[in-house]
Amino acid sequence: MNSQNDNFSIRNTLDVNTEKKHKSDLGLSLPDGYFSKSKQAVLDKTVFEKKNKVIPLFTNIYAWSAVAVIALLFTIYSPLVSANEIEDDILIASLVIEDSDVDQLLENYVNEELLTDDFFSE
Amino acid sequence: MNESDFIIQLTSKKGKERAFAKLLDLYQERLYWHIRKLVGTHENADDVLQNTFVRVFKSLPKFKQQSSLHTWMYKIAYNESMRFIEREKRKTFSSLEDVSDKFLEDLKGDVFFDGNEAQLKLQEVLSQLPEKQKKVFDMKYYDNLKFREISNILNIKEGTAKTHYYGAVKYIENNITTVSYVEKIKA
Repeated sequence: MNSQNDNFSIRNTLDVNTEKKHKSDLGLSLPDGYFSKSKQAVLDKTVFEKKNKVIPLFTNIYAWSAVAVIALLFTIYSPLVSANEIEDDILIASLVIEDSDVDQLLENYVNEELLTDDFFSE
Repeated sequence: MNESDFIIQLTSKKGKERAFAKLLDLYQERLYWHIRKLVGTHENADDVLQNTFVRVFKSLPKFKQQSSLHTWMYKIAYNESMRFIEREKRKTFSSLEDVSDKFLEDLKGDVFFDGNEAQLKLQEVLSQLPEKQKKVFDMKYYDNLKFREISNILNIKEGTAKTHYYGAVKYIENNITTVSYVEKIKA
């Protein structure tokens, strides 16, 4: 521990005339009760800040992408889901994704599902 | 209580709230004035002071006690003020002369500046000082910091800090006619 540490309490009882000096020499003033309001504002921003749990979406972007892809694949390839439901899903998905991606998705669906079904039913 | 015990309280889960409130009681006012002289108006100083304490709070667990808490907090306040000034400089102006002019202009327009002619003259003279000299003078004369602490905050040698201070005193002495003030700063 250095000598500054030993003088900690002494250092902090000094400078009682700080405000007076700034006002009389430099003409600076401040609003009434400023320091108590400021203290509360700082405490609200620090020790009393509510700890809102934020899901770090962007830090786990790869994990989230993988989850999204698996969910999409499951939806498309699930044997429990009817063809009509899949087409509805594709229509809904088309609202939020690019046209070219929808085309690609439809093409894949036609190639891999419908043509395959036709092939095996022959 | 010594400083190390106080820092332990500040970083502990249990006593953190009370200790940080105490830290604010001890340092809020002196850091406010330190910042106010750097950024000029009360509004700006208020912003920077809040940011300073938020940064102190977040950085406390990383504080390695290589300097005193006192110096460390002044350094954070100084760095926050410089960051603020840099941002303002980028927004509105660029040269050093402009910075000094803008400082005075803002000060005169500040509702919390009620200086008389002599006080305004002193502000003018102080703003004419070379940047480092003004900072060292403010820290030594108004903030009562030691040369060792000033050199730590500004990353300069202690001898250089002394040279800047006495250079500032000399300049003020030659440009201020208020005898009582000159006597005070030479004391």
